[in-house]
Amino acid sequence: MGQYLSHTFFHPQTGHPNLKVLTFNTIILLGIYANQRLFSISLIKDDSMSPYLLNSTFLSDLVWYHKYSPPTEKLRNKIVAVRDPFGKGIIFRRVIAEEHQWVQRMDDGGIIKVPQGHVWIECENPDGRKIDSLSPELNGPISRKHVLGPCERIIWPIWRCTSFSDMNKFSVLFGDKKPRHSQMYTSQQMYDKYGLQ
Amino acid sequence: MSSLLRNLFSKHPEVVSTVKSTARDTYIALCLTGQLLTLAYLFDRYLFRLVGVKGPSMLPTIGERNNLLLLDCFTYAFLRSPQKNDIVVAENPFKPGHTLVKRVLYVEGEMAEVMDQRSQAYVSVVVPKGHVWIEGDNKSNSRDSRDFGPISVNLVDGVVRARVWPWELRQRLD
Repeated sequence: MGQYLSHTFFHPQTGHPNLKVLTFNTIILLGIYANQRLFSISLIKDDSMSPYLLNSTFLSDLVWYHKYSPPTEKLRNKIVAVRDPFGKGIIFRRVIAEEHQWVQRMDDGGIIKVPQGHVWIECENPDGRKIDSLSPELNGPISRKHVLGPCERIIWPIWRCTSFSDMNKFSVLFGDKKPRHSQMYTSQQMYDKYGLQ
Repeated sequence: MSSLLRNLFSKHPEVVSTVKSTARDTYIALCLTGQLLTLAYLFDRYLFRLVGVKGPSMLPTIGERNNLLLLDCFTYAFLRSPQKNDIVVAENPFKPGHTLVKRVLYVEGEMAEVMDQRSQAYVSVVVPKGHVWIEGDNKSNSRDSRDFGPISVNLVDGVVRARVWPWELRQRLD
């Protein structure tokens, strides 16, 4: 075993290190690091973000997302990858408001201030949610720690490869039924409107 | 510029071999450094690490200042989920970058009793799936699940196994 290892990592004749094996191992380890820290890919499992992100039996979208997002990054109106707080999966949602902004909920009209360290997330298509996805009560604030990072591209299927920055072309598919989102107000707007601070 | 170099290298072959071997040594060093840093990161995240904590919320178990704790990340990553009476280090959901060191009191499915601020009465909260209820040992001076509710297991970094520093107070399984 020791001889096998030493013959793999070093040339037996010269004793020089085997650069091909070294490069291969380095690439593997750096790939593991990139997958853990920088970006990753995930399949779509339900229709909660249709028609931007589609799900089907054989050809669900494969999304490439960033795993690193500094706390000061502005994520408003972006589709982000979120770690499911109730389990181990990855869910995709749109960020409506960030911390210390106010949100007027679309179901009952109540106005809530997003707590410190949280963001308000919502899906595009509430009817397309599966049972174990984030439930309607939690179309709301979630800790910033659960939000992994903004999504970059769809990489599969090939005919749906688009960057997320030009996803707006799919909005024509909504027609009359545009997705309703809660309304966001900044602190300045709340102060001007209601005198609240 | 490149013709000058080509000229130099054709007239002095020993310079070429020195440059080549130095380049190869540098490349090997860079590869090994990259591998070492990645392995150190994976070790840190999935095996164990030392964390420095301070604060009065876990008195008398963990003192108020200058503690170094051995944090075991392997258990929660591969073996089991948090159990009752584990001391865990978790990320603060309200303050990104800050950590909490508290004890797990209730796991998913159990009912936690907490005094509700608004109605000034005891209410029962069911800990949802994938969440834990954490409280500090020093109940009078601890911001924990009694204030912000159960936290997700995804925010829990690992279980504390021992206090390593101060050396005189080292002990296992705080």
